[in-house]
This record gives sequence, structure tokens and C-alpha cells, in this order.
Amino acid sequence: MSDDHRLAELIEGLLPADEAAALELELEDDPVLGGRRLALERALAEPVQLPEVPVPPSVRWRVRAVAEAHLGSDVELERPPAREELAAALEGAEAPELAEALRDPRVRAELLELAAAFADGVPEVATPPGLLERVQVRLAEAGLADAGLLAAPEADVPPGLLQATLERLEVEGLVAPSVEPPALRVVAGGSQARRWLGVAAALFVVGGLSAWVAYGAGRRSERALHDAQRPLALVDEPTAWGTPERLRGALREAREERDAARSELEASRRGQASATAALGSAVSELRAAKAELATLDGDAQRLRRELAASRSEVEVVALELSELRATRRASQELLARLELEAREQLAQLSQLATERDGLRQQLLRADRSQGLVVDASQAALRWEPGSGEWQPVAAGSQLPGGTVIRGEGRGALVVGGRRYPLRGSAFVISADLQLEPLPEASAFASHRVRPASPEPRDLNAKVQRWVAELGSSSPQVRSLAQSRLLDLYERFGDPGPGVVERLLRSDEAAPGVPATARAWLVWWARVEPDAAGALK
Amino acid sequence: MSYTDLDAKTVEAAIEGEREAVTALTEAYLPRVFGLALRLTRNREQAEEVTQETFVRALRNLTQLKNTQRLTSWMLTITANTVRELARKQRREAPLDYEPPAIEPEVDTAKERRQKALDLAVSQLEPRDRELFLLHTVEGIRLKVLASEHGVSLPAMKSRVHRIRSRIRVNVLGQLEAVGAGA
Repeated sequence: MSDDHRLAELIEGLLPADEAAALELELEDDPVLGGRRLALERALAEPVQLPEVPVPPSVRWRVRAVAEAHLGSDVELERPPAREELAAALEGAEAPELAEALRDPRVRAELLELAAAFADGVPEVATPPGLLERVQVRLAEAGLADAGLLAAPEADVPPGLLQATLERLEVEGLVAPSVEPPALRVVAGGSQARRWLGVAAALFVVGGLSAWVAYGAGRRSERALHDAQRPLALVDEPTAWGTPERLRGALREAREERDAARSELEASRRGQASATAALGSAVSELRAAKAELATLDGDAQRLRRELAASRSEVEVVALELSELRATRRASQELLARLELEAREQLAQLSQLATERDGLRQQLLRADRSQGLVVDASQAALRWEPGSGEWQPVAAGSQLPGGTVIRGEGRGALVVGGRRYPLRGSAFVISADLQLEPLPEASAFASHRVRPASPEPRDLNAKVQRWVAELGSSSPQVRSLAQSRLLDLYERFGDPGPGVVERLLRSDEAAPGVPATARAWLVWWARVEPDAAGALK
Repeated sequence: MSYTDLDAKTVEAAIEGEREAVTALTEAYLPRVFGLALRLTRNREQAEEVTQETFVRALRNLTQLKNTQRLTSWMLTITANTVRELARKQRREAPLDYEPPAIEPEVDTAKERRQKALDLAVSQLEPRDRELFLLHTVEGIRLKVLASEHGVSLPAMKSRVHRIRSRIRVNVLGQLEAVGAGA
């Protein structure tokens, strides 16, 4: 890295601290290096500026057009002609001599400068010195004097007339830059040709101005610019040059034509203004409509998107609904099947329960017929109604329902492997072979239990009473009645139903220990005659 | 009217779309925008195109400009972005028909010589470096804005710009010495 680069980096603060410190030390010792540093610092002195770049007129007008378009106006109506357009218009004039003169680049450039100055709105433009002379020389070089101007016949022009005419033209304002030129008819020829060329050049400039004015008046096309050049003609009627009176007449005509052109121009401007306003309004409406259309488009797109989303949601929901329906159908079928199976099982269960009840009933009957089988006994006594005594309960004996037992001291029974302490209490074995305690006789009064009514002497009445006591709410009464009925049953047995009874009472006709009060009554009706005979 | 003559009221009026203010704003910024575009593209036709496009974009989005103080950096950033987009779009490289004016030691003042040397040095930079140098050092756009535009960190942008400035210093001094005029 060169010293300059190191110094530049030092100035820009890019060097690391140690390198910067070392370079600073070098700078202290080396004045040449210090000078380079100063020079480098000045090379980019703040504020940093670059040479200005001129903006071409075309860029200026295009940017202005951008701004005008942004503001909503039509700049085409106000745009002055570009230099090229102006040149094309000038070259398209009906004066071939001028077109020839314009081939000289210097003349062309200077005239275009003048035209551009008009276009830019410069109020007063001075003809560059020597321009007219150069135009004359160029025309002469091109031999145009022989072709058109010099071939014109000699005219008897009074001395000073030309100058007076020019002055008059200026007084009339016909050559001023701000006024449209009339359709001049200028005649020149002979020895005055060179002087007339000067006039021609001046009129050429005026022609350019009129072209711009006519253009700005609303002739919007380039073609209009060409048309506007038509008033300019150098040599129209070569022989028309005559007396001052004729010239005045020509001037008068020119003035009238100018006035007519001016009126037309003003009318055209008014029309242009209204057209501009209408166009501006139309453009505004069009923009508003476009904006509205864009908004509507946006809304439509949003709605389309939302509609598409809604459709997909509906499809999803419909799909889910169909799945749910299928699931519900499957569930219903499963439920129906389970219900059917449950019913079948319930029927089986009911049948099994019926069978079980039947078996239980049979078992109960068998148990009742057998009674409790005593495994062992300890100081347990049973009441023997026949002898009217308490007898010891022996191991292996059976105690049928209705048997009354009691214990002495620590008396107890062992049934089915289980020990039942009796102590000194009395118990009755119920119809379902349960030990139910009997109250002590002394406790009846204290518990206000109504003592049983005296037993009727009639056995039939007793049986009827015992059967009625089977429905008593007192278990002791029920057990006692059951026990007495069982005693009678064991005593008289069961002969079984007769033929008629079988037919009439099929349910209670089965032989065996009666289980219900009605069955006891049926049984008693069956055995009563034998019992009455036996007891008598 | 120069852009420095634009007051805040004019800028706000331009944002509101007032004709005179928009015209004043456009004419005020035209030289600066065109100058930057020309130096970035080094092609007059492209510079004209960029200038128009810059003003189209600027005027279209003028209402979105929140801080009128940033109008200058906003305009110039649009210009630089437009140049970059144009360079991407164009398949062929446009001919370089803009050359900085040469130094005339006998005619130019010291300041003019330095400016011309700087212009030439800038034209010799790589396009990206040229853009950064012009925007920051010449046009005064803040490094923070440039870092944000280019998606790099502020220290990285700072280092990069200072390296460019360092090279520019050496180049300018060399050119001035070459024509016999020191800095």
C-alpha cells in the first residue's frame, strides 16, 4: 500500500489504532508526508461538490409533462414545439430559398436559437449580429439569386422606400415577436436582392414566431406547424412590386388579414379553453371512474375469495355431516344389535332365574322337609309339643321349621359348621330354617305385647287361627303358628289331592309341606275329616 | 428555483397537489435528479428516462411522504433505485456517452479543477461504489438510510463508504497532479 493510500485511510479513519499511531509518528518526522496528507484532505474538501450538469430542454419538458399529468391537465395543449419540431416546420416553409439557407449549420443553429427563444417565451429577441448577412451570403453561394430572387425584373423602387417600409412594418407591429405576422407578399429582385435577403431573414424569424403562436392556439399537430408557416413567402409575385400606393394597399390587406387571423386565433383560444376545461373534467371523471372500478374490482376479488373459502367450508361441513350420519347409522345399528342381544340375554337370564327359583323352591322344600341338621349341640333343648317337655337336642338330629329350642347356661348349636350360641334364650326355627329368638314370657307385659288370645278348643278353629297368624307382622307369632301347623302336618301327613282338586287347584295341589296360607288351608281341608276322627 | 429554496409550506402544498407547488418542486429537483442520474448511468438517454421515471414515482407517492424533511433523500434514493432497476432490465449495456468535462488548467479555477477531477474520479468507480459515494458524500444522504436501503449494517456501510472516499482522495490528487495542479 502506497503512502497516499495509507494517508487516505488514516484521514477516513480506516487504519487500525496501532498503524494509525505509527503513521502519525512518521508524519511528525516527515514534512513531505505531512504535505501529502494536507493535499489528500483538500482533494475531498467538504462540502463535496461536482460540476453542474445542464438539463436539456427536452428533459425539462418531459418532466414538466410528468408533473402536469400528475396534476391532471393536458400538457400537449401548452407544450411549445421542441427544437426539432420547429426546425422541421421552418424547413417545410414555402420558401425553398430559406430551406436552402438552413442547410448552413451555423445559420440553422442561430435561427433555431431564435425560434427556441420564442418558444421559451422570451419577450424580445434580438437578431444576432451578422446573421442576416450570413443568410444572404449563403443564399448567394447557393445560386439562389439566379434561380428566384435575382431573376426578378428590375423594379422602380424609390430610394429609401424600403427602409421606410420596414419602419412602417415595425410601427404596425408586423415584425414584432409578440404579434402574428400577416400573410406578407414581399417582392424583391434586381440589384436590391441582397438587401431584401435581410428582410427575408427577419421575416423568417417572424414566421417561426407565428408558427409557435398558431401552434399554441390549438393546432396541436406538427402538421399545424407546417400550415402556420404558409404566410411566409419571400417571392410570391415577383412583378407585383409597384408604387407606394400599391405597397400601402398591400399593407392594408395584410393588416386586415392579420386582424382576421387574430380574431380567428382569439376565437380558437376561447374554444380551446372550453375544450381544455371539458377535457380536464372528462379526465377527472375518467380517473374517478377508474378508481371506482379498481375499488369494485378489489371488492369483487375479495368476495370471490370469500365465496371460495365459504364453499370449501361448506364442503368440509357437508363431508363431516355425512361422516357423522354414517357414524350415527352405525351406532344405531350397533345399539339395535346390542339391544337385541341384551333382550336375548335377559330372556335367558329370566329363564335361568325362573329355573333358579324353581330349584331354590325345590331346595327349600327339601330343606324344610329335612329341617336343620345339627352337627353338634351343647346344652340345647327342643320343645316336644307331644310330651310337653324339653328334650336335649342330639347331634345329627334334624330340627324342622317351627321347632322351638332353648339353651341352658352356655348352650349352643353347631349347624353347617357354624356355632350359634343359645345361652338361656328361646328360639323358634322359622319356615326358611332361620333361628328367630322368642321373647321371654316376663317381657310380654313390659313390652305391652298383647298376649295371645286363648286357644280355641275346636281344632278346626285353631288351624284357621294359626293360618291367619301366618300373615302376622310379628315373627314370633308367625313362627309359632308355623310350628303348630307343621306339627299337625307331621301328625296327619298329606294324602295328596283328589282328582277334582287337581283339576281345580293345580298350583296348590302339589304334595309336600304347604308354603302359603292358602296352601295350608287347602291341606287342612284335605286332612280335616281324618283329623277330626282321630281326635274324637 | 433550487431545491434549497423550497420551503416546507411549498412541499406540503405539493403533497396536497397544488399546481404551482408541484411545478416548483419539480423544477427545483430536476437538476439534482438529472445530474445524479447522468452520473450514475453515464448515458444521456438513460439519464433522461430515469429522470422521468423518478418524477413519475415521486409524484405518484408524494402523499405517502410523512416527513417533508426527508424529501431530498427520498427523491435521490428513488433516482438511485430507478437506475438500478433500469440496469437490471436492460440486456445490453448502454454506451457511455457522458464523459465528465476535462480539466483546463489555464481556464479553470482551483475549485473548478478540483470538482472536475472529482467528477472524473467518480466516473471511474464501480457502479455500486459510485452510487454510494454520490448519494452519501455528494448528496448528503445519511449512512443509516443507505444501510437500510442496501440491507447491511451501519458499521459495514460506514466502512465501505470510507474506503471509497479513501480511493477517491488518492485518485483526485493524482489527476490534479497530472495536469500540473495540486490540490
